[in-house]
Amino acid sequence: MITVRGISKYFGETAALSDVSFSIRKGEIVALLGANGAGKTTLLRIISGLLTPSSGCVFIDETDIADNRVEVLQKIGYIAENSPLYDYMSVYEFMNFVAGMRQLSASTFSQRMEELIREFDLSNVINRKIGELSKGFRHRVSIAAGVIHNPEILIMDEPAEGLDPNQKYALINFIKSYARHGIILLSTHIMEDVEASATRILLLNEGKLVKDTTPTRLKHLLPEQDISAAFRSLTTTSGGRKVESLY
Amino acid sequence: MNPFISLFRKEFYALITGGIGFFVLFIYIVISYGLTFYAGNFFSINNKRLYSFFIFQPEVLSLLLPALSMHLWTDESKRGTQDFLLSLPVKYSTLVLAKYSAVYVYGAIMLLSTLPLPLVESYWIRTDNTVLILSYVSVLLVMGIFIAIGSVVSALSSNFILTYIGSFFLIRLLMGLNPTLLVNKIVEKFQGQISMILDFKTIYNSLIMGQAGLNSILYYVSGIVLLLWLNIVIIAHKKD
Repeated sequence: MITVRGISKYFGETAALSDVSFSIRKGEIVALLGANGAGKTTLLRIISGLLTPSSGCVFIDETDIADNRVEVLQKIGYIAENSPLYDYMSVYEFMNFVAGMRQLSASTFSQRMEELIREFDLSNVINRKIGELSKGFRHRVSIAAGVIHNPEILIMDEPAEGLDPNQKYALINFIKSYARHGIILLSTHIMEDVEASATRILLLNEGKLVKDTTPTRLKHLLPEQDISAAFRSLTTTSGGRKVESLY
Repeated sequence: MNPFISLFRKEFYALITGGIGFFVLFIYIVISYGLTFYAGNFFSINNKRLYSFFIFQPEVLSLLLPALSMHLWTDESKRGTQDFLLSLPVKYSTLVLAKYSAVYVYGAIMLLSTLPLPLVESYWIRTDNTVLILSYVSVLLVMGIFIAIGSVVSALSSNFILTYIGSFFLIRLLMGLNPTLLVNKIVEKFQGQISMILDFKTIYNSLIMGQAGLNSILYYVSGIVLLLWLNIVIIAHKKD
């Protein structure tokens, strides 16, 4: 369970997040929505222990991440935007490295590798250098590394960015199946992905949590029953204006 | 597997496969042997302590080690993998020490490449082996402090050139630092002792001349510990 209590984050004078609170239970697929600059990535980075909040705290199963970062991070898999990886390593070397950093035993690593190779169809690229892989395969490797330790919580920053429709479809299936034994928290601004996968939506606007709802309820917020229109009605551009015309 | 070993292996592997490791090793061998034989008058002075080799080592290492240490954190920032690394359940101190150790061990291997010098020397003349061993230890200590400086600077920048120049500049500053001048007017009484405690060149020269005291070794070790602590603090707070 993730519990976020009164998180605020300031970068200098600028408030990236203001008093954000919510909790997420096992089995939920939560989509963090918001326009660019709304604070989605900042929030994900705070929950992943990559940023320290200016005030407030994050609990993972009753443990404050500020008090015990290492223990909490064992329960989290974090997949950053654009899949930054070590290009000079082969896929196997990279997975072996991640397993070592997460202190998996050799037998657990072998077993997980078999499962992940099957699940992400990595058998043909397992010995290839990551730098030689296509964007789709890099993405798969990134997710496989993020779940190698079977984390209870999977945090994904813009996971569908740059994927083709087939890859998106596979990703959504993976997210749905993974959520059966954990929590998925993802940030996105692609509404069709939200409708297809999320069970809950947290809508951020200018660093504030403005809506905690379900995709269905958000869709029915306006008479036209369009989730994108609802999104636009609740959010503003980074300049603080409602979106009427940007061009 | 242990996270320290995993990260150490990754860093060491990156040094070798990236090409920079071999390049630096090659340059190190050429410059070290060249300076020893030509500028150091290897054949014309009584070289039982291999003075003509050791006297140039800080200069050579100040030029080359920043090229190795600049990859430690700058590379992670540049690739965008620093977030990935910091999202793993590993203490910051383990991350810093594993990366630092990988470059340190590579530096020690570089130093091993100079072993033919004392071996050849001992064939011709009776060498002072105790001082030779102490001198090698001194070079290792100098390496330690230079790599620690490089590691700190690399944690502050995502630009390789800036990291190299910054590390080189700080190392040269340390080498040229003459605290005697700084404290001369303040505490004239203790001038001599402070110079001995803090002057890089005085301490290094005393070590390779076989006049080492515990305070000389403490100078390097405390410098390394202090810099690595600073490195850990930077990594832990850089994200904020």
